[in-house]
Amino acid sequence: MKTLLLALQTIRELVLKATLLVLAGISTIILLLIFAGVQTEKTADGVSLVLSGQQKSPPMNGENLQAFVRVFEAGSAGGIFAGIAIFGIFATASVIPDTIEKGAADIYFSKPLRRGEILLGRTLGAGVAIFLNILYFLVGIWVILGVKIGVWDVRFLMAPVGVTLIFLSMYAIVVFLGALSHNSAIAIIGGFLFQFVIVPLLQHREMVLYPLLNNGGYHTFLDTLYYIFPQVSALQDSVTNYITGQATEWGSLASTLLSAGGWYAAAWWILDRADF
Amino acid sequence: MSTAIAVSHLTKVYRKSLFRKNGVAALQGLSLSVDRGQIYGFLGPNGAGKTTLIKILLSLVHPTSGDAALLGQELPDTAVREKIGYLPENQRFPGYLTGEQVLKFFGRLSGTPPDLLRRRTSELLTLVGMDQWRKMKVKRYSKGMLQRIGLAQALVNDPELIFLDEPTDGVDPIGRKEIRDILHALKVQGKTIFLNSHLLSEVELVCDRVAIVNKGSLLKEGTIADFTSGSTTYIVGVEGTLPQPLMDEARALVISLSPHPGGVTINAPKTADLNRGIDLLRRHNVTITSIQRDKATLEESFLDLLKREVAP
Repeated sequence: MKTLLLALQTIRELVLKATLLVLAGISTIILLLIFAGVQTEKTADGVSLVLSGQQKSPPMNGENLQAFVRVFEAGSAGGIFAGIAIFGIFATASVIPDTIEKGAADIYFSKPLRRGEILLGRTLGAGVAIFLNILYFLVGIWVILGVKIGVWDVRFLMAPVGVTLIFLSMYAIVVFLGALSHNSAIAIIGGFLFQFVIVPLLQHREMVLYPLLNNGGYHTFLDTLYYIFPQVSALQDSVTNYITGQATEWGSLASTLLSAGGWYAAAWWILDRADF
Repeated sequence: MSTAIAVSHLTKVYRKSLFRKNGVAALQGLSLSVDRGQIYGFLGPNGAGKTTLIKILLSLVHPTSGDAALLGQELPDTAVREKIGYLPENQRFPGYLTGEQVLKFFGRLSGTPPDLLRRRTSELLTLVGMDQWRKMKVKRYSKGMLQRIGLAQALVNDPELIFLDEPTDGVDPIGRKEIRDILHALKVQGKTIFLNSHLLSEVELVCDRVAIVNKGSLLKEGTIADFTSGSTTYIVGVEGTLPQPLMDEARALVISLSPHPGGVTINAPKTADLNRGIDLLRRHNVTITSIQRDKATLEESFLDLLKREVAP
């Protein structure tokens, strides 16, 4: 119950910060543009899409139309994740450092709660706030495509959960850095460094990093690092595959969640052992 | 009378770090006991270990060794914190909350039932003089206003045991008096208060018992009277001025006697010394109007203890 209270308070805190509202504003503008820009024309051969009143696609039948919608939806999921990777980290990185800074930790940790419950409540709140942003945009896309094109792809409704899982696996590193350093700036910079440098490098290590040193031990070290860090890119691929109806690699989902869970557990352990 | 706080051989050594080559011993085998219903003053210079003790008792800091219990519960114990209130030295509340919301949020985190919380929020805002600023965001509060709302926050769950770390810091003299009155009222309600303060004159006014610590060790513990009644100086009220022959004879008899506004002071470690001084005054036909022991203030006693601690 107290964990939920902390989660609600965190959502409120994040809503009051302008960052997530800016993201919601950008999402609204994009949704309005898509709503206004996408038109359809029904012909005997199928449905043609008219984009911005000028470009007209060849007529598509039901199967092609569904494939088009799925690709569009996958692109939308990728787009909102890019937005969340930037705005989301920026908005939520301070959640843990703000809780454990001098003066705040004294009050939170002197209450009848375990430190792990506080970590859980704050992380849950951040996750739900991000989920609501993702939900707003992706359900908006789903409704617009359903109304305009007539394809109601129910499978896509799982996408907000998938994108939130990607965020939470990335956020594990941010939470860990926040718990370790007690510093929002380090958590933000570390989060960006992880998402935009470490993840792509490790994802493409065979092409980019292997050639730097022709040594088996070095390659094993890189492979180990890949599995120690949450495999955000692999999870992104899995979610995209799911949305587009391709085979989903559940193994990468499991190993990413396991790794992210490990980083959350490490943050918990650090908080539990720390003196405030 | 049962025990509210029991501390036994508590030691805390902060570990070595990159910037701290040696560990720092904040507490060194400290033992003390606080009875329920008392206002207990915990005094010491900066770095004496005062805040460390409070933080260990509230499980903010892990002890290196030793035992502690609050309200009969061995620490660490999460549940006992439902009965505890804490005003830290530098509290930081979420700036987007109003004073009223601070009380409600932290009251709920403390496990206070909603009905009680509603009632206590209003009562406490009035009690600490913050009723008219209840809807203002705390980020706009002054230091004194933050202290007041912090005190209300420490009391919101109707705690049995209250830890106050420098509660009057940043509060004006009228506010200090109001806080002292609140502490007295809490004592009447049977609450136990553990008070860290640098303002010794205030501690003297409110505390039943006092402990003085330095470098993590207990120097002395006792009632206020134990600290202030140790003076060996007596102030003797006399009429007129003291004749010079009297002063000369006092010097000759090695009686420590010196003029004082409206009389004379006699330093008399023993009662016999005081009587010798009075006999001398009477022999010279000096009219005595009063005799009283010059009480040491808590501050004098505190400084004296620390001086003796420093002396080889």
